[in-house]
Amino acid sequence: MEYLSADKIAVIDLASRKVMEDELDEDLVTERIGGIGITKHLYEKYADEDPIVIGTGLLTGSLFPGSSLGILTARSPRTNNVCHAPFCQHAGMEFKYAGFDYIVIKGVSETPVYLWLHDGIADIKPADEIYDMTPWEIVDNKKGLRGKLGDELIQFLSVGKAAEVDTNAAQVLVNCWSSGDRWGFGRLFGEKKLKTIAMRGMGLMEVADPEDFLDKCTDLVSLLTQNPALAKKGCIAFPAAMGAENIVDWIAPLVHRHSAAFNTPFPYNTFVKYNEAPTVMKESDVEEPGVMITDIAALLGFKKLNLSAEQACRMIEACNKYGIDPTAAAAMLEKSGAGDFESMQKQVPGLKENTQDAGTTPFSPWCPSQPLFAAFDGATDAAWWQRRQAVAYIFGIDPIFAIMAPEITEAKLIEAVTTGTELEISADTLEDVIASVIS
Amino acid sequence: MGLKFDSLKCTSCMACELACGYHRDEALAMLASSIVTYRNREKKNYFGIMLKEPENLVLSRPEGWKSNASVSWMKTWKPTRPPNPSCSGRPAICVKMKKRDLSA
Ligand code: SF4
Repeated sequence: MEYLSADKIAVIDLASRKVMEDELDEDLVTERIGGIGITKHLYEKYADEDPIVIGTGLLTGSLFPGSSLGILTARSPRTNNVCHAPFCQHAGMEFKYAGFDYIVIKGVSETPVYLWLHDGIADIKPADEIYDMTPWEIVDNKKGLRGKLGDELIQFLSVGKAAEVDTNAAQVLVNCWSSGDRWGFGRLFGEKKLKTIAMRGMGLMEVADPEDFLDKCTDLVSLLTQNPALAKKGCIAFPAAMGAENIVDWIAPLVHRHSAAFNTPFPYNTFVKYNEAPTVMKESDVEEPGVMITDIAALLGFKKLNLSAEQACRMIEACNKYGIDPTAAAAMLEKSGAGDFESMQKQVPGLKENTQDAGTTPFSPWCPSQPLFAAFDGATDAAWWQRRQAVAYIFGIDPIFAIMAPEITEAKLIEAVTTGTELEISADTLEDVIASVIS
Repeated sequence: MGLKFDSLKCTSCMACELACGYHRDEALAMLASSIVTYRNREKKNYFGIMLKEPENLVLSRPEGWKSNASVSWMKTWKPTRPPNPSCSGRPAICVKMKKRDLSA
């Protein structure tokens, strides 16, 4: 596969420590497009070996707005169905620039390991030194893997101690922060003795018609400047937009800055500071001034437990360090009659839950289930949301941005990949792939 | 062509870095980019933009801009290439860049 691709699928067997590599076949892309079209195909191919499949869309890492998405596909311990968890920030694009379109992780390692994906090479490395670390320690520029591997921009998909206990709420984090993994995929990492996946690369991806691809992307960017979402900032603006309580005033005294996932025009990650003044813009000596809010449901979950904004944010930090899905943790604490803040903080490292969800969709509820800020034509019901998610996950578009940007139409996505790859990908192909991933 | 940075408006989305690399290589690659988002201080949420010139480095930091910069994390930077004449004339993907001096 020559264009919009790293042209590589790696099958990584943790049991035998062997890595097999294959090219990404153009016929497969013509048939399944990419993203979850292909991660699901690879999952089914290796289903007997309980794989975790990781991949990106054709547009991931490209000039197309919102192109930040990476996907984990596996059987969820929470639903017992094959589900997809999004990872964005800068990790989706880094996976692709590290030289991989897809990896299949199968088998169970005898001893703790981590994967080091760099410049088209997949190394299986011993994880003894980092096994007891929190996700925050793993990324550390000095003592963690960024320090050890000599690159402060390495991106990680990590698990914490929650992955070693019997809980379906263990989460795969992006660096220090919560991801869209609401499926308990952290537990699967733990079972495989896989502590983290470190990713970094300086890859180059060719575009079949670079001039036309650029024009299509810049035209879309121009259209997006009219989108009302661009006047808002942060996931803290979501609840009011969804007709729920406006929490902006509640959290505002802690807000430092908002940041965006790769090439995504809406900065929905909200960083809050509570260990130094949020107004401090200079780099200070405070190593851990606060936490990044990446999942609004988690913040709302802790707010519901009558915590102050600072306490709610500190709970998210505690969950991130332990490696547990903070939204699930808030629900567990609510159910058990959590007590006060100090008692809740103490409970985090022991939180466990193995209840099963009904699992009505393979897409993560991390993404709000209705349009945000902008209006879409037609019904915007559960079927709309599911289709919108499927399309985003197929092409590599940030699923949250997808529900804010009606300008990103299916036709425009198809045009972009057709221009970018010169492959024949039609609306009928997309229809077939959507049907196969929703079924 | 001049570049205007407003680092307080920057969201660390990397679109400028990607666009610069694309202008140079007509491909998706950030190795060749002269605009680099620095995001090495993730836990501190400290980020901004660097512009690499052949003999100079301009930092657009949240607290203000700085020319002739030299900082400890240079080891992770990519090699500098001279400006590409073909950069002029094309619209930038992001229009958020504007120089800002907060030290005044
Ligand atoms: S300067 Fe603009 S395009 Fe560049 S990273 Fe910041 S927000 Fe993104």
